[in-house]
Amino acid sequence: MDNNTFIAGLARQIGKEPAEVKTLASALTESIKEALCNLDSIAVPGFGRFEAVKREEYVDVDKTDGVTKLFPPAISVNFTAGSSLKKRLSHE
Amino acid sequence: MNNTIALPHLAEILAKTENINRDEAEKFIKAFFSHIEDALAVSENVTIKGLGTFTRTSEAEQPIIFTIDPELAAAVNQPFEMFEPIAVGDADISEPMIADVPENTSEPPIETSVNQPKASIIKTDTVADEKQETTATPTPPDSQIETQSTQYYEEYKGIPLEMEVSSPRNHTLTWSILAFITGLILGAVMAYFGYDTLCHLFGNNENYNEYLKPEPCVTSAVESVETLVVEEVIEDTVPESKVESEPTAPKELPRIKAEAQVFDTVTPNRFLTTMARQYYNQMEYWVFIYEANSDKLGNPNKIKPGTRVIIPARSDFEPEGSREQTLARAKSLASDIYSRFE
Repeated sequence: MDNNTFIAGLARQIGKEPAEVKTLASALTESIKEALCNLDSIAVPGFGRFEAVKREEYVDVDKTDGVTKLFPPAISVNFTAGSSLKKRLSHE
Repeated sequence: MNNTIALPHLAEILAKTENINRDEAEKFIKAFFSHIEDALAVSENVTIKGLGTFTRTSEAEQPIIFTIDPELAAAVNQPFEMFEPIAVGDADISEPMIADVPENTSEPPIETSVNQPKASIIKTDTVADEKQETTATPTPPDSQIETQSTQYYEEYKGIPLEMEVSSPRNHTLTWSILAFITGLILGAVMAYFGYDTLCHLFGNNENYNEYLKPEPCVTSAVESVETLVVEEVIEDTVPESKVESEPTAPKELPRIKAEAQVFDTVTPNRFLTTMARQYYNQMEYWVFIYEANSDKLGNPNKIKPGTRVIIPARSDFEPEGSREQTLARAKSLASDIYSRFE
């Protein structure tokens, strides 16, 4: 399901215009982005938890050219599904 | 940083951003994630722009795989976007890396200017994070960044660690010096006030001061007293020119000596008998010194050190040619004095 389909379905569900829902969704994702940039976690009850995890720099062999390199730090975002979501999807 | 943002807080942020009611914002967030849940129930994956893609799996423990949106990944990795993988080759990687420089050192941070060319961004993915990092194609090394980094690294290596971080040993040495100086100051203050206290304990400051002074040379004291009296008398009676020409006129001295009063001080090693032997060549004459100072002397055997006494002139108690009689009188007087304190 792509983003437009998702926005349209959400607009129908809450009875709002798709444009308005799109704006609100953009604002929500922007808020989530800011929180993750600050290495904060976001917990949504029943759905799951978004967590920013920083990996420090490390030395490894680049598989593309076989050269040992120092790789810079990186931040990844992990999502852990909540128990309610897990339960529901396991029954579907 | 490293805080957990709960739903109410997220709703508050959204409400402020969009100028809507907080309850309305919370309701929207709940509907947003609830709809993702509904969509995942009927679809294999759901893509949210600016957030990422949720993909269903067959695993019960991990039913969803989240793939971060490239835009979001770039935003969260923005602080490191100027870095790129650096080939270390066969170099000894056990040496401290630039990124390992302690944060509490005084080394200036690597400045990133607008003109500084940026290295390629390493985009990370939640699922294939490590895979993407190791397969990232590095751009050609930027000489400016490398030069700057090497410069800071060399500076870091050149600075002795002791100069950068104050060790506990240095603190101990500093405190020891401070304690020593404080002790000296306290000692000086205590000595100053302790001296006053001792004077009060002895009762008579004047006596104690004299007691602390070296034993006076009686001869010189006598001479100085004589000289003083001579000057006073001469000033009153004789013209100044005469004083200069005849400062020690032999005719004046006897009269002056008769008028002069000699003082001495009792010490632990200097008694009335000692003084009598010195001034009169007769130890038994101490009684005359005692009688001259009887108003301030008590028991002759318990005279306090530091007591200043007048030494009477010998002519006051011994007329010419009556030495035997005076000696007998002295002995009689001694027994009389002792009888007062029996």
